[in-house]
Amino acid sequence: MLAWIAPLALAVALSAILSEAFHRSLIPKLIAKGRLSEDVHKPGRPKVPEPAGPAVYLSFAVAVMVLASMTDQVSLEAVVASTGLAFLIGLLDDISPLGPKTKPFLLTLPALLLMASGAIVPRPYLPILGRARLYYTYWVILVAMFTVFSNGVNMMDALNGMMPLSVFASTAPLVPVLISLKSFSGLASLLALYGSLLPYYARNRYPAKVFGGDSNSLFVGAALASVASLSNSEAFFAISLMPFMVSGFSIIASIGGLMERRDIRIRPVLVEGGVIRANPDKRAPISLIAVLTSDRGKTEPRIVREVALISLLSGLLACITFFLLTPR
Amino acid sequence: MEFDRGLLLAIYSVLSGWVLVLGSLLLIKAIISVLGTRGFLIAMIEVIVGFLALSGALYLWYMSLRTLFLRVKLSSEGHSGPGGT
Repeated sequence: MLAWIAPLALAVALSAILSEAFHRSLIPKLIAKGRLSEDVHKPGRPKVPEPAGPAVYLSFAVAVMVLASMTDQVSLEAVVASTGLAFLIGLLDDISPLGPKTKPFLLTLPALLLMASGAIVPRPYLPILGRARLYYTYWVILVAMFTVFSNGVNMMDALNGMMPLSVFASTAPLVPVLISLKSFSGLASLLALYGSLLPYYARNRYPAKVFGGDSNSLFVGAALASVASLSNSEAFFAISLMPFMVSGFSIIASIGGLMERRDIRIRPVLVEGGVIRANPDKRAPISLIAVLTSDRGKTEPRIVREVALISLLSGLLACITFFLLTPR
Repeated sequence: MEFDRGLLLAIYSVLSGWVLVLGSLLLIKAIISVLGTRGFLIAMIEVIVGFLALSGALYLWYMSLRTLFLRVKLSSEGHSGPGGT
């Protein structure tokens, strides 16, 4: 286990340094090319450069590939390829928006790529039940997991800094789980993801200087799904990402099907003078932000802090479930 | 002291989701202990019942969240328009 420390530290440091350098290089180029999006939750709707996804993904990919060459872990190369495909789908969506049904369909491809790599063992640990043998049904679950995680992370990318902070808060309690499962490639991928997200979070937190775009959120969702499946800890990642599902599933259920966030006619929340509150219209979809502001209006930083708190709670529940309620 | 019912509702959504997932897995364990794990047909029945249990739990979770959400939203001060605190 001690032999892991140096390569894992390298993965975090390298991805963070590269991400910082790529952000510094990319943001002026995005501004020069006029690739700006409105920050709709702020008075005056300031324009913010988008997407920063390439800076986050490329730093992750280089760091993980360096680690793969040092440790001969083929599964790390499979993660880079699979998440790279999700990143490209997101980038395509950033350049020319994909349809609400096309995107979930395309997001099955990164799962198929990971499946084809042979890096996945279809024996997930399940709470209460222990280690299952799902040789037939596992592959359907894997495909669904990629789509659900990627869309969940995408839905969570609604306010300044909300997505990266919630990813840190919900998955950090799973680090002891990955250590306990002795999943080096899962842990290395997760820590490299943290490293590449740190410089992004520093710029995306309130008031945002950059937006990640779908290229960022779909890549992060696919990376989390890859880590979960490599380490056979799918159920625990699903529990830890429950706040992400609240947003994703509730919106889909309340509008009665798949729809792009920008195409939802009755908005879940209303914004006035920098204060966000749930739309009083009974037909408005339910989202996590709408739930948090159902009782009173709140400012953007306060909502982000509360979402992070909820994410930390679900991460801790996942950790407790693994150590106390899972036969091993 | 005035409670923030929105935050409480969000915490409820996570805790109830967790309890329902564990409850449906307990049900699956009970079914496995009754039917055993031998044979493809029995395994398929268990997988289908398991998915139905999880889907039912998800539906119950969503309906309870929706009911409470509407109750809090429509009873909160200033629900007739944007703004608030």
